[in-house]
Amino acid sequence: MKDRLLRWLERLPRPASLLVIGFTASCGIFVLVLLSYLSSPIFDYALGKEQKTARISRLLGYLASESQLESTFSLTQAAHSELAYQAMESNQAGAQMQQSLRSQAEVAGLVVTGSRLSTPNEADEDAGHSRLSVELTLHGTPESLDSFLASALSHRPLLNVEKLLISARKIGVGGRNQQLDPTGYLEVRATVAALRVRAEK
Amino acid sequence: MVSSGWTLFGVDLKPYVDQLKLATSQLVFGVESGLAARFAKRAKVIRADSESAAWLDIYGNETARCDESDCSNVCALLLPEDIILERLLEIPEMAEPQLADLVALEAGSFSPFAPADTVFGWAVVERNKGSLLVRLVIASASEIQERLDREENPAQTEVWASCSKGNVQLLGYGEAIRRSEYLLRLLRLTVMASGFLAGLVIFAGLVSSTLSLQTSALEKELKSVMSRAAPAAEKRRKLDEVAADLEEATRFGSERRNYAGWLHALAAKTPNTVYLTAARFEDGGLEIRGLAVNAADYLSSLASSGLFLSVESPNAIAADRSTDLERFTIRMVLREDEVLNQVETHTAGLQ
Repeated sequence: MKDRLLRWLERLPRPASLLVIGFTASCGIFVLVLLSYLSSPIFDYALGKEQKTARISRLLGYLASESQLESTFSLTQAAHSELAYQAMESNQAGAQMQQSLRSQAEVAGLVVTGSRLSTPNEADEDAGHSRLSVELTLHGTPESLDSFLASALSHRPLLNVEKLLISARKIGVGGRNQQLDPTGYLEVRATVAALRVRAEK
Repeated sequence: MVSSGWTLFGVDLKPYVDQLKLATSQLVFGVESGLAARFAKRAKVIRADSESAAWLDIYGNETARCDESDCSNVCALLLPEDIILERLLEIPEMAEPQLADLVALEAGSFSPFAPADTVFGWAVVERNKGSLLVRLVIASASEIQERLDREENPAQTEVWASCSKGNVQLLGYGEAIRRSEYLLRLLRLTVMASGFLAGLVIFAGLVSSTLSLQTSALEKELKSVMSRAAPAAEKRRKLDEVAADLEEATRFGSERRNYAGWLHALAAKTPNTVYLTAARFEDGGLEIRGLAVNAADYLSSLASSGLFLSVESPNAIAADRSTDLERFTIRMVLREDEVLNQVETHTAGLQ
């Protein structure tokens, strides 16, 4: 068909072929403009209908379940507040965490010889939380350490012991005269992390 | 130079108008386009020397058959070669818009008959590069009139000259009838096609405007629902945020390790002949140091315990002179899927 049309066009005298080409091009442009004008609402409808209907249904669903949303929000927020320190000043939350760790250690029977709150690192922050970190230096018996680790694990908000260095305490003075404490007393250094809800949320 | 009076910004439009007329004429009546051959009706041939029926298309081509719908009431009187004069003219292609005037002048100057007795006809027989070959035929009007008088309906009779290479129509007889029938037929077809297209466009326009109305109605409904549901949507947004935070905190909880459990497991795998002096848990790994009666045995028992992966001794096992034991350092990776590592989280209970 295309070949036949081309052959027919080639056979025509030049003025007639130019007229045919010009007329066809004009008709083509007119049809394109007309089609784009007419098809625009059709495409808008076809593409937008499903999306808009789904959105309306979703919003109506929200309306119908507004009270459920509220109760689920309260439950979820309550659950979340148990797992992370709530939005407050970073130092305030850190001090609270440090205090809590010290008291846990003491209750477990460990002696706290030092504790330090690390400055939160930006790389450790995610969308909703910032990370608090406390370094503890402790000493005590293996049973006390066991008890402390267990209580840290069950603590709310969540505490994660990220690093734990345990070494046997040495007694005596001077390098060669030093000996391991036969009582099994341990020296412990622990880095403990927790989450805090970001205040700017 | 003659101006037509058709000007646009001082440009004479006559040549362009002439070209347009010529192009239209070539398209509608030209042999090359074939439109006239397809849509113009055929005239019945009247030949003095033959009784057989024949039909003539608008270009003068004879056919033996004709469909009823393609037959015109017009007859075509075919003149024999011996009463016509024939001449071939070569005319520059650029003079084609004025071809009819040129041929008329040529006919006047070439005709042996008196001007009032001269009738002529012409046809373009060949197109070469830059020139046209035109066949001009001339005949005596009185001679033709005599023959026409013998016909039943001379007003509806075309006169054609039978030439050596095809027939040429002589102008001034019944040719206008078939031409106007043909043009009417073309017009009717064009109107039908335009009507069909207009119908399509109107239908598409109706569909388009209906859908446009539906889209607006849907948008209006959406706006109304959005304004009503704004507080509920805000609650939903906050719920999503808190849920994401809860998920993140839950993940944080699940990544924790039960080091107390690992210490117990390590103690259970450590015989009384081994004395641990240090243990370091970090990033899922464990490094232990100590003294043992047989450090290599201890290393292999840890490796085969199934609790650890990649159990290795980074330093050489060396004898400790003061205790007479072997001093060792062992590094290993805690198994992620180990039972000891299963941390019971509060959030799991919530979910």
